Amino acid sequence: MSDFLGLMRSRIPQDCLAAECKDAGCSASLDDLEADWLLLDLDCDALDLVAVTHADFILVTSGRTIACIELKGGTLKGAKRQLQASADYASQHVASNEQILSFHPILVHEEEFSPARVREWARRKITFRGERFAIERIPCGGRLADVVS
Amino acid sequence: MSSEEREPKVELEVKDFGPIAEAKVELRPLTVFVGPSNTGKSYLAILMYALQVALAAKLDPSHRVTRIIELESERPRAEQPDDLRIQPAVVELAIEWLQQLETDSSDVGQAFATPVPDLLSSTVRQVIATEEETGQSFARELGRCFGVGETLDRLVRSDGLGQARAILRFRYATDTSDEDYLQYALTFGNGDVALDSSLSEQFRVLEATPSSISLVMATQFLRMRLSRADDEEHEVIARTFVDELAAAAVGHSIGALGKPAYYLPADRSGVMDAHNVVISALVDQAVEGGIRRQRDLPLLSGVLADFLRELISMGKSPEREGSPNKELAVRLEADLLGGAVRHEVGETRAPLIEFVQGGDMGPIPLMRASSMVSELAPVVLYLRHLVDPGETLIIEEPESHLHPAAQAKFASLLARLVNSGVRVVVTTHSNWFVDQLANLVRMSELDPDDRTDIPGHEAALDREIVGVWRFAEDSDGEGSTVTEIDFDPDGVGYEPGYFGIANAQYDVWTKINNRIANGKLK
Repeated sequence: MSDFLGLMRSRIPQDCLAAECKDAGCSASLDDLEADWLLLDLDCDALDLVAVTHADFILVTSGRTIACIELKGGTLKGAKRQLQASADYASQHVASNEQILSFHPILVHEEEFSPARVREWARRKITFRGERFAIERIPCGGRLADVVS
Repeated sequence: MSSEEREPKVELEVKDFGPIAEAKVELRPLTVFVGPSNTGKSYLAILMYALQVALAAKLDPSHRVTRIIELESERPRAEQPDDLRIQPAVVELAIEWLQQLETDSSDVGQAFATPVPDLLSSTVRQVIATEEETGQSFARELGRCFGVGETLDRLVRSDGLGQARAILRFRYATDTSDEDYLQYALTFGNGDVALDSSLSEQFRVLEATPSSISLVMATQFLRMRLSRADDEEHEVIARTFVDELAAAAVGHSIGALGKPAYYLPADRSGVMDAHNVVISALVDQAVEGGIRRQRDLPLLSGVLADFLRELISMGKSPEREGSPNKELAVRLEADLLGGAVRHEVGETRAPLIEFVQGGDMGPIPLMRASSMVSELAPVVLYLRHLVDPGETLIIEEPESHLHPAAQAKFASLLARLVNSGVRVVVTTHSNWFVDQLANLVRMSELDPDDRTDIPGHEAALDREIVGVWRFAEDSDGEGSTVTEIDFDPDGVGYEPGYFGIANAQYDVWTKINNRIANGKLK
């Protein structure tokens, strides 16, 4: 394990590490991620976060990548707010004072966006360390490796 | 039975036709084909046109009457070819029936309201089921409309089994059973063409007759002929009468499919700009004939040739004064074009089509007008001069050269055309167009008084009269297939399968955006 990933692990309650990215009847595959990784379950009691205002997971890789992941089996309501809260948490707590090379806010969802919804979501940006990121999407059952580089 | 109830349900089924592996489409007052290129939308639209042109020509009153009048030019042969012979009892019955009819047209109509004797009725059914002319005209129109002449093999799907099949099915709209009362199944390929016509017990010969103008005229003529015919001619007259009864029965049974259809091809705007050049070339060719060797001019497909012919002969068709379609043409000019389309017949009888923009500008030729004007000018002219309620207008890609807002307006106008009784068939790639139709269908669920403030309220469409069909390439590369898109009131109405494209574009957008943002993080 890299020094960076070791440091990240030391900052996270061990009970909150997850092996599967799964929630609300939806999941994302962790297969084929290029680097070592750890997955933080933000619903974990030890973190004491309010679930409705946070995304479901934060993925950290040895390549200094952070991905906030929200899984939605049904309505997408609140997803932007949850991803933003988790981006802030990742920046200020998980990776505070550490350089991050790559950030990805990811929405894992069941139904495809309609063309009209695409335009709406293209405007919904997540701010991470002063930069504005578009919300990347993969379908339920899709691979995180497709968007996390 | 009301006229609406009489309008049959019509279904067109094809197999291994062009790029289409298989399709089964119910033709509704508004039929929309949507999907990627090369999946067969135009193939199916042209097929519909070809079949309808063949049927309408066969049933055209002037064609029917001409056939009868040709009887006059030569003494009918006492000896009929075997395939045209009918039983002596049928001859006797037909002649007896003809003799009983009164001479004036209203009485003839009244006379036909009485039941056709069973023997005569069964002979009519047999004639419809066995006559070969319909198959020949289907094949001829198919070859002509696709520009392949007699080589219909070129319309067979290349990976198919060497034969294509097109089946037209007719069923009573009020009938809940799956039984077709009339079916034409055309099979072609491997150098052969065959038509199998079949009728069920439900096919009604009786109801065919009172409304058929050509039958009434033919009957009057045959009665006159009968008055001076000898016994030898009776069989010919009886056979002709049976033929006319058969044509009238078919005409009544196929509803709108027996009426004229008009086709506006996708390349209409280019033709509008260049029609005078094309006409000049044709004239040039005609003038040179016999003097110089004829140059090989490329052949036009039938749909394009018909379009050009309509443009050229447009001046002969008076404007439909007071018709709802002319009103819609005016609306189209005002709402979308911002000016008027002017059509005159020039000195060479070639049409002079110009656009007169609002304001002080004088008329300008279409080639100098915007592409939208060239696109919509033929629609204006067709509505003004040609298309009547009950007839069919087929428009390829109505969205071409139109801004999305104009596409939505045009969709509303076509919806109004449908509501005025014109049957419309559209092939499209446009999400804007389909979304507008979805709005109009959803709007019909509101009480008319509750929708007067909603844009396009006068174009609301009943869901039952709209059919939107998605063409898609089979995932195994086995040709395209066609499925109806169900209207989803809780979603986007009609989902034409463009979500994948929108999402793929979104994914690329986010990848680019985030790569730029990540570059700044570093």
